[in-house]
Amino acid sequence: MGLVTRAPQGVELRGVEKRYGEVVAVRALDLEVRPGELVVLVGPSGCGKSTLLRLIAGLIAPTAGEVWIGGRRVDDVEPGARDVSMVFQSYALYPHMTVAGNLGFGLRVRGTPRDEIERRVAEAAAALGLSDLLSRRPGQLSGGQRQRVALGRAMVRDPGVFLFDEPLSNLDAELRLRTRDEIAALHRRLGTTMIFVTHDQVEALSLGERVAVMDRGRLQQVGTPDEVYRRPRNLFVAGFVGSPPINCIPLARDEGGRLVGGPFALHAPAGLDRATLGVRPEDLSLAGGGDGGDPTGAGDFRAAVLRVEALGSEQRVHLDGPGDAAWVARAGPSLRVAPGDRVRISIAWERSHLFGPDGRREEMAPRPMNRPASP
Amino acid sequence: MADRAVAPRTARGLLLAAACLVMAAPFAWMALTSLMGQLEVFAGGGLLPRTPRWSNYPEALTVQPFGRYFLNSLVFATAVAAGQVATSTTAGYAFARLDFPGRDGLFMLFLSTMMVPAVVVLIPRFLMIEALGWIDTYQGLISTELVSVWGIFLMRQYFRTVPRELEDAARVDGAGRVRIFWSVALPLAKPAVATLGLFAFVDAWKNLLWPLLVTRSMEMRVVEVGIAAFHSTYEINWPYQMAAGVAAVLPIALLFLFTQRYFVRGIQLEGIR
Amino acid sequence: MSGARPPALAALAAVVLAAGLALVLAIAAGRVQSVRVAAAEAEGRMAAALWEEAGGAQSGARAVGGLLGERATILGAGDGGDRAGAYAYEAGALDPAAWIAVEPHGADGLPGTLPGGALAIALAGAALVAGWAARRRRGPVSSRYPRGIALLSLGCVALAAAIAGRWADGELRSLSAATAARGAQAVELALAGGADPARAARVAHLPWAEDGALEATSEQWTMPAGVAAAIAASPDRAGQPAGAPYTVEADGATWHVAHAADVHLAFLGYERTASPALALAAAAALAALLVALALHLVQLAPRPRALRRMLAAWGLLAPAATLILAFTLGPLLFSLWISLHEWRLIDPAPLFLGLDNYAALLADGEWGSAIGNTALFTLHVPAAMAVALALALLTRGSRRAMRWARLALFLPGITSVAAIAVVWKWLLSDRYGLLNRGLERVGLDSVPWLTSPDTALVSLMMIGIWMVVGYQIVVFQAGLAAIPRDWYDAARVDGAGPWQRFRHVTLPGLRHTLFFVLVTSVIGSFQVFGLVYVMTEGGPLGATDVAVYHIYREAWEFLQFGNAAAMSWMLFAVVFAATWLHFRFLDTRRAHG
Repeated sequence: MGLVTRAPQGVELRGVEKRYGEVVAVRALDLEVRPGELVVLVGPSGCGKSTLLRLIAGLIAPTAGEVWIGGRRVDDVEPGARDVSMVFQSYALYPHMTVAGNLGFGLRVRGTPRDEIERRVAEAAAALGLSDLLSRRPGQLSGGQRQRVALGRAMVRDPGVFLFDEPLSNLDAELRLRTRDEIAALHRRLGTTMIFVTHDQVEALSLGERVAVMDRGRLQQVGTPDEVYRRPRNLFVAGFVGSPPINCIPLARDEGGRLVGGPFALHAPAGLDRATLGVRPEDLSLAGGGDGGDPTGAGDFRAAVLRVEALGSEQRVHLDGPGDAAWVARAGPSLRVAPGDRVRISIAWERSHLFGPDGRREEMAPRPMNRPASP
Repeated sequence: MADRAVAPRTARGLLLAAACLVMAAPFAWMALTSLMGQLEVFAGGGLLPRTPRWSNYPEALTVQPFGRYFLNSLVFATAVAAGQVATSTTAGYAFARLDFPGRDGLFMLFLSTMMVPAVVVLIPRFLMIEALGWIDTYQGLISTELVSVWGIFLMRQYFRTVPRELEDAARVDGAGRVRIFWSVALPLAKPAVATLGLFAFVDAWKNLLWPLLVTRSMEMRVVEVGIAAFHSTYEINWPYQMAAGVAAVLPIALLFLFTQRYFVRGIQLEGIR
Repeated sequence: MSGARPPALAALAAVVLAAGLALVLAIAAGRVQSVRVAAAEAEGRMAAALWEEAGGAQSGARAVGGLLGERATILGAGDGGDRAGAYAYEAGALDPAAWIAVEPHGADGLPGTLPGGALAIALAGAALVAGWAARRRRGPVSSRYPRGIALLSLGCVALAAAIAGRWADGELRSLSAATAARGAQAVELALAGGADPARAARVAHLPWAEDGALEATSEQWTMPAGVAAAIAASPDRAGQPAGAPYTVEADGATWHVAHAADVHLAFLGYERTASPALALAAAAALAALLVALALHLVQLAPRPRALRRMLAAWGLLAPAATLILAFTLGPLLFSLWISLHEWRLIDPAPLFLGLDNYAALLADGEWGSAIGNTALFTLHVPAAMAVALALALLTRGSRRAMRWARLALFLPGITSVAAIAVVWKWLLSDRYGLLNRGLERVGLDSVPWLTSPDTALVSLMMIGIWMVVGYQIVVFQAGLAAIPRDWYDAARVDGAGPWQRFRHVTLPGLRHTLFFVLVTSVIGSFQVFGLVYVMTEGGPLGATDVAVYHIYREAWEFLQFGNAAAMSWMLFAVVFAATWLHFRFLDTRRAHG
């Protein structure tokens, strides 16, 4: 389709920091995005992910550190000269220009010959199904159409790097899913480097080749969606990624040298006095009802069912336990439990995590002791 | 609307009509007198001219070169409006959207000059214009009036409402600050520009004191000075004076009729900010 | 993009330099041109006087030709063309006998070398900056280099100012001397034509020169005593042939003197007039600006993005900032300076008085009553606001009707003040005015609206209300529309009656609007001029003599600029105090409520 003519560019951040007076928005951050890669920056609001994107775009200048794009240091290069284009949360379409005007503005600014502008605008419009809308103004378009114009405006310039600043957050749920797929398809087709910012971890996992999780101005973990989900580097990542979120319970070392908390008694790795046990909802398996008998497996426990969310393909079972915690388990559609039932729950320990007092994940999976914690 | 009980609809309408009548009556009398004979006005007859004497208009407007006055007023007011739009949009944009050291201090300094009564700078301005040899010239008339702090304030407020993402988008598109101002911010500020231009035009049109000081020859007089001078020369020829008055009021009235929403917007911006 | 930087910097430097040079040259050229025209006018008046002295068109024309040669054109009455000149009258006749148009001395504008030299300087400066920028691109450069460029630019402007000033002074000196000589020649011609010495002297008494303009003060003028004494004491006097000018120093200025027979003519020289100070001040302001700009450039040079941003900001601000500096802030200080002097347009040099003008004004009854009249007139503002607020409340919600009413409501406020003044003068005319005719029709006494000191100001206040009330209604309606409807509903639920709703919902909601209208209207009302100028000229018996009108007359009728400037500053102080008090009042109200 003739849109791709340029090689994708890599992006590298070296010790980048951004302060606003006392406030540190981004602190000493290193990140490398390889050419052609799609990286998603994800984190709660205020974590600095949008600031980071704007640093890459050049809309703001770093307080310290270096930004490299395509092997060139660009700290002092204006956004327009960085070989990047950007799709904004509000789309930021120029309200007084037509769709064609919006698409072609970046080329006009650069003094591209008129017939080439027309050709490239027509190409981008055709690729995005906007050909019939070229003479409209943004005010006359639907949300999805505007979104595509914003996308087209970024494509027309044929940049080395695409930046997306939460472009889907203003769309309704259905359109969001569809556009997400379109962006993924676009990435496959163009092969361009893309950096995508979102606060939605589902979006991040589904879209990103790699996911960079941020919190309070720091990069918490960078990895493939699977790595981030299965092997979170710390409690924050574990808690932020995954829905419903990971189940936790605090543990403390007792006089017997065990880590205990709620019904659990675990082998304590050396030097660990306090810890947090983290178990994903799908790593809990519920054995139906029955009040009688002790839990059979090591580390199994009992809890009462508080509430059951039947979502069709799965059920979410809210538990009154273990201990003072309230965990959620994910179960298949066939399981029959009702609020008030007491159930026996066993944990897939090899997939569970133990987090140290500083939040870092222990390399070793938690191991329960055979004896129950308390008599 | 909130307090419907205040007055019933018809009473409100009548009240408004009465107020309008009081406001319009002098203009009506101006128009009526302008069609009377010179002696008729002293005869104390009816309110309507006995036979409309249309020739008052061509006569009154040619005993002094009113055509030239109108041309001068038009040149003066248009240049002032264009100048104020140019200076206010550029400065207003810089104050609204560009970061530079001393911005807020400079803005406060500008704003504080709004407190200065025009008469304080009248004498030095006059002396400067005279020193430049610009008395009785268009540049002398116009140059001091080309900037309006109110206009800068208005435009700054307006530019602050332009979404920042829009400008970010333009920057990523490769536009420089000046290009963003010209291609993105300014087109979006058209309503404010219209309001500012109209107010500047009208204020210049009715400026009497400054043109009175810096023009000497008849060829350079503006309408406002012309009417005042006409009054002192043809003191008791009321029909002539009223004809000239109608001619002076009419352009502004027509301008207002066609552009009133911009006037109202400007006044409302003034009132509730 | 970074490649575009050096040319952009160079262009900026060139523009700044060129603007500075152009300003300096324009001031110099303007000064010279205005004196050229004035000198030609003076010569025209001499020629006209000579014509009248000669008695008869033929001999008159001969005399004029003898005085001015080719430079004088004698035309029929009426058409003066572009040249300066004067009317000559036949003795006893009312119609001018001839229009004597005089070609001013010298060529228009500046000598070609000046602008050319200035351009060369600007280009050299730009080249230097470009060179610096180019070197900076290749590597770090000592920061002294741009500072040196800035100083050099400063030097260029100062040099240009000095050259232009010297040129202008020289031009003016020679004009002054030439005019003195021409005066002496005119006297000679008159004597030769048979006039007696006293009458001949009258011919040359007509013009005399002062700073920048030759102002005719005609027969009333007598030579200042100091100048006469200086001429009497001058060693040059004895040896001078008639008509050859020489100089004397007197009254703080240099005078060119020429004599014809026993008549001595003195013309003010130009070496020590105020204009060079003005040019110097302009050059200094420009220099300060340049230094600030250059230092900024130096600071920002290592950060090209910040530099570009700064350049864009200053580029966009430059027009407004320059104009405000030149025509508001500068004049503000200038006006303060003037107010400390006895500054009369016709004086050779202003006399420094310190605060004497202000002290005298404090005791000046007429100025006091002008301030009092202004304050009284300002009372129309609260009255108008009360009416406007009532009308705005009563017509609240009639949007569609408002659309039609607006023209009538607005017109008094936006249209020609002179036209309004004229029609009101006609409406309020004593015998034939519509108002008095109406009063008589219903059997009442007519009122001397504008002709009695008791009523004139009140009449003006009525017109003042009429002019602002429509505008205020619209502002108040906008303010009312901005009060949330919920507040009224809540007040109603709380059981508040109409008065309480007005008192506790409407008034607080409108507070900012009311305050804004009050302050702007009061400031406007303190500056009322047009109505008074056209309708009453301050009368009767000074009853409508308001501050701005008083200042206008003090300056442009009595030519007491120093005094008028002091008045304007006192008015400023009053306005400032009033606004400040309003603000304080509002602040305390806010603090308590």
